[in-house]
Amino acid sequence: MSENHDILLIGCGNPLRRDDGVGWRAAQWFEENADKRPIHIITCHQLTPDLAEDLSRVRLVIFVDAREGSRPGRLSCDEVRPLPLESTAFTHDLSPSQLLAYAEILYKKSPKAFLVTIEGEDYRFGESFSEKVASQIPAMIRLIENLLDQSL
Amino acid sequence: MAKQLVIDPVTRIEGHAKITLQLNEDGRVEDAMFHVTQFRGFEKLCEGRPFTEMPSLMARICGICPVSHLMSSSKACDAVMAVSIPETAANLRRVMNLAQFVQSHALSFFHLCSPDLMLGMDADPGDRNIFGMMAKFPELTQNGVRLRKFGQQVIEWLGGKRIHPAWVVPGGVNEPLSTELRDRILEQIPDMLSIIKKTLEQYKRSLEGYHEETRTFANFPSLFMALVNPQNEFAHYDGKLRFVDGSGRIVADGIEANQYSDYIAEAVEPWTYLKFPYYKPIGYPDGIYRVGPLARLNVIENCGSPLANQEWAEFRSLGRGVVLSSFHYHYARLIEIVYSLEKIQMILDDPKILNKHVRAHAGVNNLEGVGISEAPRGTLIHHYKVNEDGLMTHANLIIATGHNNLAMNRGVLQVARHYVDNKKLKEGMLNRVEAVVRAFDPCLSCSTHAVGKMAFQIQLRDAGGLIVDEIQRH
Repeated sequence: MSENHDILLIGCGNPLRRDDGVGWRAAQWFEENADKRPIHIITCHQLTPDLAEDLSRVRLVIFVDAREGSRPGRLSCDEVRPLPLESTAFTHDLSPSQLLAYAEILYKKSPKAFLVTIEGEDYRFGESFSEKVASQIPAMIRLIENLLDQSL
Repeated sequence: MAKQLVIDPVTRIEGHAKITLQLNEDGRVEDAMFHVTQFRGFEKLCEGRPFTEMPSLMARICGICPVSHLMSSSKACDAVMAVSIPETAANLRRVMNLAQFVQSHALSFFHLCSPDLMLGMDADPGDRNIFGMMAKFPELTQNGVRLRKFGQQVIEWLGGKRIHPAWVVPGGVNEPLSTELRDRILEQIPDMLSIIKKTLEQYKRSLEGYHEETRTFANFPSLFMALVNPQNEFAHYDGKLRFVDGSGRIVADGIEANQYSDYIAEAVEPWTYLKFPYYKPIGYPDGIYRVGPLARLNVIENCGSPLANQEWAEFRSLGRGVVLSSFHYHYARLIEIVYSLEKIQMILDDPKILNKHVRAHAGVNNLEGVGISEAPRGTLIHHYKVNEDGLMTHANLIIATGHNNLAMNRGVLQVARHYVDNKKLKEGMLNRVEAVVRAFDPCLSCSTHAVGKMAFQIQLRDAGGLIVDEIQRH
């Protein structure tokens, strides 16, 4: 990671499962417009422990993912804080709060973090988004830009 | 009264699964079933797509081992094109594949299994997790992160970018290696080797405390299958298939990729989405075989790199002919990390790795192609059929975890019979039932072709099928 990158955006999900790819879509947008923002961008299917080191090197991390819910297309932004795992149900993937805890315990650092999500409607195979999710993507990008503006 | 015990979901593995333990009238385990409860269906998704899209499409099957699917898929496409790819391209693919072994094995050992292996199977489940490991063994845990990170970085550097990397393509790779990148990878190898050597020594000392698990964790004679090269060494990227039996005797050898179906068939059961591949000459269900790190160390005559060879010789002394206990999958995984690091270094030390000719171009020359490579969890087979226009008409994927399905089921039964006593259920007993599955490091998202977390359940049922007890974890 470049020394100049003290902001990390992680797009999480499966881009072959329609609305589950919304995190990747955000990452792709900022990748294509990277010249405007000094941010490091990562895409992944799921959050894994090695990302803890990346988190330990930045002051802000923005997780972008799809969320299951009863109102498809609803855009949310929540601050995330470190939350250690309480049970043994540890799998290959971690939640954003667990990953933050991982960074805090191992590297004594935990950046400010936000989780930006859009509630998905269709998770079947495909690379296009449902109408409700697609219509919210510009708002999602603006929301992330606002978070970045506030941090710069 | 006969009862049934169900573990659902199984934790610290990739995907969704549950285990049912059938108890007899005396409360002893009579039968066990490892159910995979998710379904994907990637094979159907492929139909009608251009075969040239297959590597990048298949890489999306799994977030843990996408590179493995890239390898087998690209090889199947090479076969459709009937091309022999440039040696430099094959070696560059090898480097990426070996980096995948480092990151995947590091995840399995350090993050998923080390809580059992370093904190103890009977440790308080509240502490027996990666956060418990961080508290007690911070250096070991950090080293695990570093090793995995190294593997991930090499993959990313070679792939060129994180979003939709398309470096491995039909016919080779699409960019040669730069001197700067080669040197960047090479300069990290000594540190990574130092980490894994230290870990291996620490792990070998800890084995003293696991005699009972070693004796009972899927420890039985079976066949073992893996690719080997002409020098009878590891062949993680290519080679020919070999089967050895429980005494180490070779029962089938020199099997080309397009002959796999002469030796392997798949059975289905109504209680799981995961198929049961079996060794065809023996039949189902007796044609049980194992794949993955343990199998690979059992079928070779040496590794092909100096440090790994030394470790392999010591490892093989654990068994007569071959090592039968699946508990030693963990040990085998660490030796494979040593090998992967050494082999990456050997490949990159050869100046030819910087050659610029890295891709062969061709259209459809065969209407069928099979690609086989070794994935971290075992042998991965991609079998494609295309039409004259190069559009996919059929795909069959046999995933490493599938090959091990019969062995995992038998292993669960063996562990449950040894440890589980209906009269005095203890968490540590049930953990061992899960741990035998984790030893295989199954990747059920791959093998069943769902998005989501691995969850694990244990249910206790009476003779009439009524659930009388249940443990569920999310």
